[in-house]
Amino acid sequence: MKNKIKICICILVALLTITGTQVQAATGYTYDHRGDAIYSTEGLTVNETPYLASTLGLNPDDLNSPSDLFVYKDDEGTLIYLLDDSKDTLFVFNDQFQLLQRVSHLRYNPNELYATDPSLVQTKTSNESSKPTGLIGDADVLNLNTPSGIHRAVNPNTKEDLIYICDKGNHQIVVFKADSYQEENPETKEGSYQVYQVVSAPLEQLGKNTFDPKEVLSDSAGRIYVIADKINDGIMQFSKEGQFNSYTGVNYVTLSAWDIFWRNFATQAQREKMTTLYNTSFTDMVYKDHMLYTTSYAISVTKEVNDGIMIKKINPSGKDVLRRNGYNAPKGDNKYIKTDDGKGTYGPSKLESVTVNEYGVYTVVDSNRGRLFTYDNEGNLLYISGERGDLIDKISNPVAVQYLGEDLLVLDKNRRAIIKFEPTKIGSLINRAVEQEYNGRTTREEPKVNTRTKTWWIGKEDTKIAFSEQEFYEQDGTWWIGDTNTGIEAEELAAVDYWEQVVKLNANYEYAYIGIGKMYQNRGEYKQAMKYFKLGADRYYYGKAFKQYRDAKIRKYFGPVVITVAVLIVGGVVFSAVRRKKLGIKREEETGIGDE
Amino acid sequence: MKEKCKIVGQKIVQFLKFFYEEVIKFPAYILAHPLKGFEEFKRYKKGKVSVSLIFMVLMIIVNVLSFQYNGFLVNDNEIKDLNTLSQIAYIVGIILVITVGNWSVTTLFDGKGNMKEIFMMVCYCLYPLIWATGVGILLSNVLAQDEMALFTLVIALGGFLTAYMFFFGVISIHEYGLIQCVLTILATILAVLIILFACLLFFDLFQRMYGFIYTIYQEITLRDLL
Repeated sequence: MKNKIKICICILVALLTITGTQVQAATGYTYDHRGDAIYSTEGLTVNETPYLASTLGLNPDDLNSPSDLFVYKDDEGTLIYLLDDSKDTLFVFNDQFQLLQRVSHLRYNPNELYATDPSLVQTKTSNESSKPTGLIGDADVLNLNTPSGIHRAVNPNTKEDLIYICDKGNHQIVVFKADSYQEENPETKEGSYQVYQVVSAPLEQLGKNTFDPKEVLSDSAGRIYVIADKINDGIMQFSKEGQFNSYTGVNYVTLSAWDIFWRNFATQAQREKMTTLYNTSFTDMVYKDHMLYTTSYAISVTKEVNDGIMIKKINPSGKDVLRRNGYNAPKGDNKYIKTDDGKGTYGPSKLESVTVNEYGVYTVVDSNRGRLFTYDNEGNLLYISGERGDLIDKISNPVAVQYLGEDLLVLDKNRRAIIKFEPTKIGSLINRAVEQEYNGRTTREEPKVNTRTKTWWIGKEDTKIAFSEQEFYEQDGTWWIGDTNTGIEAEELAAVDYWEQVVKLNANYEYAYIGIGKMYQNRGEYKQAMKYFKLGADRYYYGKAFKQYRDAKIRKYFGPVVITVAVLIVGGVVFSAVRRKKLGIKREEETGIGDE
Repeated sequence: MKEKCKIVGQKIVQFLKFFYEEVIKFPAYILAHPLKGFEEFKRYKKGKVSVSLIFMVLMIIVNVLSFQYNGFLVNDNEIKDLNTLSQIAYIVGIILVITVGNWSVTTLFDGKGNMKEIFMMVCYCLYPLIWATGVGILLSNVLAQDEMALFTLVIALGGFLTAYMFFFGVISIHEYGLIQCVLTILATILAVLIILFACLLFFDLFQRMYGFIYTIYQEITLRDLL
């Protein structure tokens, strides 16, 4: 008896050690198809100490109040632009975070300006903490004043490589050419750019000193888009020449029927006591493929909160075309405590910034709970990462997020640091899957089996691999299955291969099941497809697979069933007829007897 | 032994006959001839409490089954949310509340039916709904997304027929005219709402009282007064 128990314990221990090895991702959460929070894995994680002033090669007080971050990528490499609005300085780093440029003033020549009225250009007049601003006059240096937004883009028409800075304290936008940089002090890397254009306040719309630009970018036609403080009419659109065109993408306040009802009955005095409703202004925007991705705070109407349009994708004509095909509409946290109950954080996510990568995946950062929400092109919530806290790698007051390749940089104003998030294993797999779906490679053909050698392969026959049994692993930036000698490169894999791996790591990841279901659907294995669509809670695709499955069943069994039924009916009729005949004769005989 | 078997067999046959006659045939007759049917139901005592209880149990069973086995295309429920006890309480509660509501209204409006008859009538009215839900379970597992209108139709038809039966049931049981019947049904709905409100209020008050007593108990035990 004792021996048996010992053996049992040994087996149990062995099982535990075998099964308990794979878990490595931090536990996070996500929202399931019903909108409830469930356990899940984090997609992004901090692996290295955040970049502080000291690690960036700056003086400690250089980075007192970082205000914006921009990652620029071209053929020559990647540059990271960092603004600080207390020292009024622009720092430029390469992708290894080595300081390349430090710009605190710009060269100014009124004769070399493009489409600018020199009489409106302003500059910081002294270095006092109140930062007074004044007209530049005939000075040859323009000092930035509280710069708060930066953007760099090449105009595809004119090939001008321009950098835009929101010079908030001077109430203007300063533009300069990226190639006009001159280094002045190689020791401290100090240098300056030549001012190319200054966009001043549109005087027909705003007062001269009420124009406080916060974010800026330019589109493929060279038009300039500006988000300014205290402007509730939308994003300001300027022509290439700095002339104000129009507002675009307004966040209109929408009242619920209930609110309209009450406001109808409210007296003047009551109405004055109610909170005035403004259209919310935007917090950030980013430009990708002719579309503006924007974030803004939720519109709060008394107790009702309209959190549906916090993330928008604005097309050139100003319409919101963000796809919301996921289980829940993209809006940060899906469920939250609505009103202050005295126990801590409440209210919807406060989205501060947004960034988009090459395959349409966008991440927003929430300053309310310090979280990063990543969505794909279709609006599916991919993963939630990060948290609020007092440790150095927790998010406290995020002001900007930017993709740096696959990594994500978060600029935190309180931490005075750039926090670098890297994809976890599952995060990386999800990204690959989404990328392949974005490129249209959702499924691939079924692996073929060489029955003689018992090997599986897809694509060309000479790249034979042991297929679905093998784990994925990453080497030199690409994903492989099998080993590097016999494995195939990630290029040949389709989204479904990655989804299968994702589900192995996290069975709670519902969206992946839809991807797997699509593969079975394509292969005509409708029963399997139905199973996976059910797991993924996708009624649309389930309905399609189910119909195929049912019709196939009907086609298969219709003939036999009809024949059987016909045979039964005919048989029954014949049988009863024969029986009746026999009985009839008998009954006649019987009745005959009975009558007598 | 043989005798016993025979007796048991006979009993089974008897039960099946009873089941067919009372649970399937007679309610269908009422459904087809509501006034005549309820006349027989009341005057000739063809309605039976046992059959009413069978209907109630069937309704509970069918409801639980539809929660679990309705096709995925129309079924939003998750199996972990299935609570049979609450389903039972739900059905029994609704039937009782309607019965009490109708009874309290009709005693004021000179209705001729007593509580037992009203209860039986309400249970018999579930007949079409039970069929519809049952057929719905089958249909929802066979129909595709774009054919689901049929499923909706069946369920809606079940609900409509149940209301139809209830309407004529109220007329016959209480020997009412048409307008009086409509008024009574409206009043019944109001009574049901009032009963629910009273229940809620009672529940809330009870909870508060319990909380109050519990606080006192806690205070006393923590202060070592005992």
